[in-house]
Amino acid sequence: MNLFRRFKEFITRRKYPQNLLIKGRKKLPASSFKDQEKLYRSYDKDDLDENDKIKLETIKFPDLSCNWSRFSIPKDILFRRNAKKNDGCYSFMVLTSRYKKMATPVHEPINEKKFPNYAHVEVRALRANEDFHVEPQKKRKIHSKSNKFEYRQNLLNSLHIEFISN
Amino acid sequence: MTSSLAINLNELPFKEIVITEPEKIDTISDEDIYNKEFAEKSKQTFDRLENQISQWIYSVVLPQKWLTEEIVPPTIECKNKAESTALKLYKDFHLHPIRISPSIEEGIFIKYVNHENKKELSIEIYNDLDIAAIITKNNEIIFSRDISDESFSEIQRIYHTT
Repeated sequence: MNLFRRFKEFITRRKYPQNLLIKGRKKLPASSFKDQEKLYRSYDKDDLDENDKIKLETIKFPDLSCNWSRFSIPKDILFRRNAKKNDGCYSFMVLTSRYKKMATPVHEPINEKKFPNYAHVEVRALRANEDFHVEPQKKRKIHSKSNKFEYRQNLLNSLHIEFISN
Repeated sequence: MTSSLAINLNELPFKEIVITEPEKIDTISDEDIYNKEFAEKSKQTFDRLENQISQWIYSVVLPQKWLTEEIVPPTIECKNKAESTALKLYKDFHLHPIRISPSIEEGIFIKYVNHENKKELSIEIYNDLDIAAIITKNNEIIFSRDISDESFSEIQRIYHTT
């Protein structure tokens, strides 16, 4: 059994995308994100409405976890904790994540043994006077619920399905 | 024994008996009967739809995957407020939701679609009992507002205008 597990781990390890491995690379500053780059996010069938469109109520904001297109491809979202093989992927541009200067992506590589991910980013909330070069902390509150709602709606209106959930 | 079964007509409920005169029954037309039946059926339908909305809200549960992400399910207070909001929109403006579901932002999400002008109204009622509303048309945001006083007249007006 132990041998089988080790063999399975060996096979999985070989399949793991090399671009996601940290390999001593450093975390990049928020200012290095380009507006036209993409952010990839996973979804599943529960996130779809009766017309197979992403439901607004499934879009979280802030602290939205994504993969950065500079270091990954859409399929790489399948290599993460709690991923399911049937997961789909949608994308939106960095420009979209900066809607009305309410948020900006922060490079946050995941340095763990099983699912290392150099491409990992989190879209975090900016304060009114902050610019895109600022790296906001996690778990910031946005006090206006309608501003948050509008941000999520704009993301929904701008997203693009990369591959479908089945 | 016999005297104990005697009925005193001066006591209730017999005091309240009203005798309908036969000629008055003749004056009720078929139209009146139809209108009365229609009103009764409408009221029943209305009540049934109200019940449907209420049941829909109270049956909302969080998907398992969100529970593992430590998302808090909608509280009973949130559901109560969602119910009063949805019923107000239904009774005052005849708006019937096409979707009621949990929100990842910890509350209840309610969606309406106006097929005549292609506008969509989304409302979220959160666990802290705040309410936010947004109206879109052809993927464009045309209105978003925090609802503090449960006044939906402006929303209703924008939602219905072409």
